[in-house]
Amino acid sequence: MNALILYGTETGNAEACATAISQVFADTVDTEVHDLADMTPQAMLEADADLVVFATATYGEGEFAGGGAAFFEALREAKPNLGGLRFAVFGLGDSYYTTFNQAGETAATMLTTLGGTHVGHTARHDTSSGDDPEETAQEWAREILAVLATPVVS
Amino acid sequence: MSKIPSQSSGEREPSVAIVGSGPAGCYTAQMLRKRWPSAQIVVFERLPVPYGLLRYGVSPDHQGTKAIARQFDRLFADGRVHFMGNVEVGKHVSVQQLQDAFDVVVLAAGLGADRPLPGLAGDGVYGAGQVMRWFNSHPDEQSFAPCFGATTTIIGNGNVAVDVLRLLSKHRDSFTGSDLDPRLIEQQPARIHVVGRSPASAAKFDSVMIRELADIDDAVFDVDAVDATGHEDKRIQAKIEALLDLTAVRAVSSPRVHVSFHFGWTSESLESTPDGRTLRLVDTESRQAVKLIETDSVVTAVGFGSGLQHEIDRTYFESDESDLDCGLLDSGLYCSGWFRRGPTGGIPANRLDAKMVCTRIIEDVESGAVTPRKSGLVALAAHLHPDTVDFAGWRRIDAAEASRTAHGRCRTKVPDIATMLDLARTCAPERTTVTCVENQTTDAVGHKEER
Repeated sequence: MNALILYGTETGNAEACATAISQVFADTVDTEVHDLADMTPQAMLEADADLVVFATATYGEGEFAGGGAAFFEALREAKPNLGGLRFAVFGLGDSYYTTFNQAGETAATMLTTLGGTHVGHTARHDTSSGDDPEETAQEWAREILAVLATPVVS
Repeated sequence: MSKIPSQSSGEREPSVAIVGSGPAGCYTAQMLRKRWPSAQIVVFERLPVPYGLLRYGVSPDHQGTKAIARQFDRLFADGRVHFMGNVEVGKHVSVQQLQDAFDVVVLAAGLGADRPLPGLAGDGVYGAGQVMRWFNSHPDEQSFAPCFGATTTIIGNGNVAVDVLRLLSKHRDSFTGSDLDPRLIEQQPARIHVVGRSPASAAKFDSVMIRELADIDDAVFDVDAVDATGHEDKRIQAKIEALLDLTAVRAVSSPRVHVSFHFGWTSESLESTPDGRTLRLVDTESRQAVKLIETDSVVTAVGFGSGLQHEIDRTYFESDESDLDCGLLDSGLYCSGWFRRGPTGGIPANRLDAKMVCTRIIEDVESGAVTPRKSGLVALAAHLHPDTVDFAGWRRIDAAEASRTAHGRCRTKVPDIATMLDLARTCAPERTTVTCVENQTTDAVGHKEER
């Protein structure tokens, strides 16, 4: 199994979380970590990963941080069929602001609308909570691994 | 991640000294560490405590932003990068000595001084950067005692101006969870003017900064003119909408503070009157219309200029080899952040800056332009005074601060260097060198008794 871990960051927190997630995955999954700034929707699909993880921070008025903005704008325009894509979202934000974790929610909604399958729950790390983002990411990654290991009951 | 190439086997890793532990320096350390997992990387800091702007520039009520420091905590705590506090490069050790000991030296001590405004100086005029350092209990500002009076005027329309506005207008009981010293907001003005040279659409603050002000429910806000609604640019439109929402008439029975925004006005002069001061503004466009504001004090928040109290100046190190666009000053000598490109841009911009400079450093080591051969700290040891603060020392200061949570604060900062050094050195109580701020009395929690 292989996973593509993509992050959109302004301050490096989401990148640190992406790295933390890949470390948890590393035992069981082949992982690659990329900045969304260096990624296009097409390249993501061509990678043909079993799971794509988005570690994305919210910035400004609920916008995607860093490379997330251009990536999701491209996705919105191209509207590729994401049937067959399994994805998970680790959101980062600051509950101090009303737009707390809006980017993570927007990402999950957009990916689902395009046919993607959402794995696990969208994490909402809160930088104002004092919780360590990397520890939160590791915990969440273990949950995602558990979900992946559970056979789907139809 | 993919931009920083992976290491070839058997390559020798360079020793690296970074000057300044703010975001520019720490991001540089973080990125170089990723590339060279076992290189010696040392971050030098003038103060006994790390993180520069995160600790002393970011507003005390923006703990989420200050939490970026956790990334760097991890870097230092793992012992992967060394912190060397209470060492002022240019004073305690020279840049040349660093260059003699380390293969790569990166200067990232770019804190700028407040840019002054022509015609505005003297008593009652304060720079916003200094005000923010004071609100952040910076040891250099312990003798600074701004008196804002009943009416203050903030000149400038950037995020720092809005930080000052928020700290002066937010109810003093609403700083729970911050690390703001409660004594600094005992006297807040009842009337605040905010003056911007440009129209509202060109103001530099972010819309979220304006939205945040709407939470102050016992304040009233008004604005003289908001231009250009229905703007194409989403960010400008968001800013305009935030301003209009904030200044829409709201029912506040007895407002505690009244804030007025004035857009499109340039300050000309500040004159003393028997009752206070009169700030004279002229219309930026026409230069004809005049507006007079009665004010007790003025805070200038119009950006930063050249370095503040720098023992090291970038121009001194520039050479024929310099390529400032990618941070190269001289062979093996680099610069990053505000020190490289001047005082503009925030934390994300300095992260990208560090990334770019690291790309150049890595290229130079890979191409052989810089050959790793210097032994780092060992070679510098003879030049270092014995009173340096390592990361364990900072952790002791940090723990002491975090354990003091009176007034609902997340921490109570130690504002003076002598107390910091005492806390840092609980293992070795006898000090060999005394570095302290003069004329200061401190109480048990390290606070000055009077400001």
